[in-house]
Amino acid sequence: MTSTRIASHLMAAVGLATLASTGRIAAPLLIAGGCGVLASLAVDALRIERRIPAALLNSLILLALGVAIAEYLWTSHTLLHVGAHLLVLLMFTRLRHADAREYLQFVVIVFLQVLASAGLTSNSAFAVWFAAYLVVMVWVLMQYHAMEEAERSPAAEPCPGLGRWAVTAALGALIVTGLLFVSLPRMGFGLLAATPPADVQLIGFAPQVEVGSLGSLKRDPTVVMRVSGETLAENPLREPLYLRGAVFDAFNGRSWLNTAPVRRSLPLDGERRFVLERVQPRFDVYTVKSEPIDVPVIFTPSRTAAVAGPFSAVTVDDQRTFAMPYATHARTTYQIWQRPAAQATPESEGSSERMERYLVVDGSARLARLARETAGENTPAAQAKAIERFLKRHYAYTLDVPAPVGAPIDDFLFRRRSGFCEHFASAMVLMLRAVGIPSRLVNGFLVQEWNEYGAYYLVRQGDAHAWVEAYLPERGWVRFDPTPSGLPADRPWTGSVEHYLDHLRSSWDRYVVEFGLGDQSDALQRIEREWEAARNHLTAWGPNAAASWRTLRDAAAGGWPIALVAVGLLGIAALGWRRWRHGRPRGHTGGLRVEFYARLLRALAGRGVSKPESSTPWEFTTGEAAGLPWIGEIRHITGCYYRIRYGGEGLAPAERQAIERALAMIERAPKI
Amino acid sequence: MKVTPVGIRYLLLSLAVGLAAVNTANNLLYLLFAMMLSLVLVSGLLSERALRRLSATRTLPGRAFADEPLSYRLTLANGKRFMPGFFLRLRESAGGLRITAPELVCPRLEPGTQIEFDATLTFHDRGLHHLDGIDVTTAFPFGLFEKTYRVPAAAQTLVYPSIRRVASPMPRPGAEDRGVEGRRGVEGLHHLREYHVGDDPRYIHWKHSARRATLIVREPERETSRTVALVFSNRLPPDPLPIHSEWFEEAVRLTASLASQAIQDGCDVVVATWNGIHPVGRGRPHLERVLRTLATIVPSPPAPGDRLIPWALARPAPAPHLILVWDDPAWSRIRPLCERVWVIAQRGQSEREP
Repeated sequence: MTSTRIASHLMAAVGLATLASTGRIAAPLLIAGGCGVLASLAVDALRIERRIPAALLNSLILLALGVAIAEYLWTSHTLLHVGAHLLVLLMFTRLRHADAREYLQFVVIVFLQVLASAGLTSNSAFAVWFAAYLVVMVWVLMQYHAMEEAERSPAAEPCPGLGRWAVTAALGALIVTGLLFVSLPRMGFGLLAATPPADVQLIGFAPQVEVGSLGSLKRDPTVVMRVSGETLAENPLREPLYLRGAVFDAFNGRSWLNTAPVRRSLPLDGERRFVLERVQPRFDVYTVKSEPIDVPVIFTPSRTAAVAGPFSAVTVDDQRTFAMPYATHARTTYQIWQRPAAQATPESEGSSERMERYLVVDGSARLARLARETAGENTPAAQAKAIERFLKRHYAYTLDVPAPVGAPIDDFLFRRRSGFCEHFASAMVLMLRAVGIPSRLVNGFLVQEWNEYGAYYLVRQGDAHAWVEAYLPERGWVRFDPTPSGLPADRPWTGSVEHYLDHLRSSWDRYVVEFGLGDQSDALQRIEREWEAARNHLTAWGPNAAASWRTLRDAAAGGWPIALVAVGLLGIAALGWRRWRHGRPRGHTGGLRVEFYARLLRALAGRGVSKPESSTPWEFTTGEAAGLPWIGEIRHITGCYYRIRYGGEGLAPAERQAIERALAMIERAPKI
Repeated sequence: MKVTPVGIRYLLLSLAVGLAAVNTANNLLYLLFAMMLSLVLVSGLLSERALRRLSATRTLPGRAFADEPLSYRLTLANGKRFMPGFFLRLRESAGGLRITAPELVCPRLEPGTQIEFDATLTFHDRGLHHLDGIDVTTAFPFGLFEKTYRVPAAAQTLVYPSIRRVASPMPRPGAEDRGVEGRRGVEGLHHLREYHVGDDPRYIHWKHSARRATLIVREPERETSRTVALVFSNRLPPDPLPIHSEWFEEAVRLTASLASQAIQDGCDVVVATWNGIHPVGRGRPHLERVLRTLATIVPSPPAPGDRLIPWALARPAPAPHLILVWDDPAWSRIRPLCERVWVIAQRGQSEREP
């Protein structure tokens, strides 16, 4: 099988893999494509020379076009999908190329596959296949050129051994691609950008949520957000971070409702932050990178004072939940300023009418009795703690919750006695209300999975959580989490490997998919700063060097020794440079590498036999040295000397050792 | 650098991807666009490297005939330490010359090695031609761009006029050449002289050669000797047209062909032009001398004291062959006396058959 064939099949495989990495190409087509590539490879491996008839190829092209048209009319949603499917089919019409022209067509088809993949996905898997594609493409283009040259000059010999240079060129191209990618100006405004559907569909953040709806998310490992911040990086094992999404103040027996009347827009401050409270320097700052979600909720921790991000507006209701006007359906990065817990101040809720809605109980008498028995006659804070403790201790956590019999909370409390966070939190809210403590249910995310590689918290769908906020007269709204603590048993995705891969995905998204004009501007400013620093350093170096020089000159008796040393060093450097430039070191032949011959002459002179100046080394072996007992060794050493001195050859380690042994023997011998 | 047709398509495709990236703000398209541009850069860099430190030597004979393929040996060496030269195409750098030189192909030239080609080269014009070097072209690595580097390999060759078969200009029987009577006699040694290109090696006198440390040949006497006088009027009309240059070249070719044919027929040949009169001679060495003169001859401007016409008038028998570029009236008195007159302006047809 020729390397051209191997290259083209490898390229076909990479093209298919790139399409597969989008996750949007029909699996049967990809499987069929893979089988086709393998079959074609097998044909080459078995050296079956039979060509596919042109009529069959043309029929295949027509069939592919027909399938594409039919798919576009009845099945597929976008032209891009249809095009990608068509390219898979067309690839096989040129996979078994006969000449350079068909080979080039094949290369273009696979390139279009990669292009279509770039339009269909922003998945980090694309990075892997893109790199593979670049390497293979360089090789394939070289093969194409070789094929073209062979067709142009049939008499010329083939040119093997392009692979090593292809890899070298590909590595160079990868580096240059990275540099160009960073430096190409991002002038695009996305006028023709396709709007992808929201990747993550969240449940539990609508104005009305049925109890138990979060259960379907708890086993979903899909990443929703990544949360980072200096406070988190310094102490990743601090108390869990609760990101609030939706707050519900009313319960109708089966569903929670948000009856917060009005949302008000937050004003912008001078630093383009949407401010709820005045931001102070000591506030904790979090950065949230949110995947595309289908709800306009801005997830924030409690005590959030301000939010900044690519929002046209930010609204907040009287339960301090933040929202944007509409779901962006795109990756969004925003920052949050949180007032520290030490600065907590009781939040004024205004009139008692507004608090009454947090006291409405729609529970059974049994529930009220249980609440009173559990809470006892304590302060509200102690009552709330008692109820939280009671639920944590006496109820079990499970995600396998069947449909409730009757009222879901009564079913949880008195019959099943197990459930997940929503059941615990709903039960606690109702129990708190039953003992007269204003309370509300909060749906959001419990941030607890620390990614040690990227220094951020991973927030998954499975981290969706419900908890309770109770209003305590002395402390304001206080969070209670009655759900038994600890990671759920069914979270198999939290390993180190997965974290590392997520870090790579996150980096890919940050530095490739979302790389923009702002990043380029930041990079330029950073380079400018570095350059300024380097220049200052150099400017400072001049006077420092001059001062050092004066010190050295004063220390030495006059400046000449230093000057001589400097000149000597410069000379050595120049010689080294010259030797490096000219490759073959001349000194090797006349100096170090033939030192052994000078040593031989010294050894022989020490034994009373000197080589006359007028004799050549060989004449010496046949003349004065001919009668010596070590003439064999002398001839061997002389032969080696000739080889090096005039033949420009080197010595093998074994030869060097043999010379060393012979010289040692001669040097040890007594004087003649 | 030249962009190949495939390169043009590649650049257009790159442009389309770049436009798509700008219009969609899709960074993955920017990535692909960057990749395509990087391949252009890598291509330029590798082709540049592939052509660096190449050297060529060419062994050209000192003389050649116009329109006749000339065989020579061309050596191309790669002086690089690491990188081979890939897909090298070699072609003689023509400069302003009209030459035909088939392209030579070297698929791969390892570093530190050299390759020899048996090449052919055809000059289409006579004269002393200087060749500058060899144009080495490669489209490595992707065939998108062709880069050419001129490897210096200076050489010069004297190109004689092309010789064609013509009717023998040998004098008719009875028209004796009285100028060389002294050389007639029986076959024997006429004199010794230095060897010239074209001499028959069988006539080398080895003893004399060894004594004088240079090649000496014997000039044999011949039983009979006939002389052909060729008078070439290398003069153009006062206001020449471009066609006169072509006719001039045709006249040179005719003169060379007549001289060659005469020498081939064993005649002594004397060639006279406005530039001077070549002494009478015979054999290949004499032909070489005549051809050397004709290789570099140019139209001669009128000058006072020109001696060609008086020489032709005074010339003893046999009558000369007169070659005229145009119907020059200056020769009207002499033309009747000539053996044969050729006026090239009349498409090479002889004006008057004797």
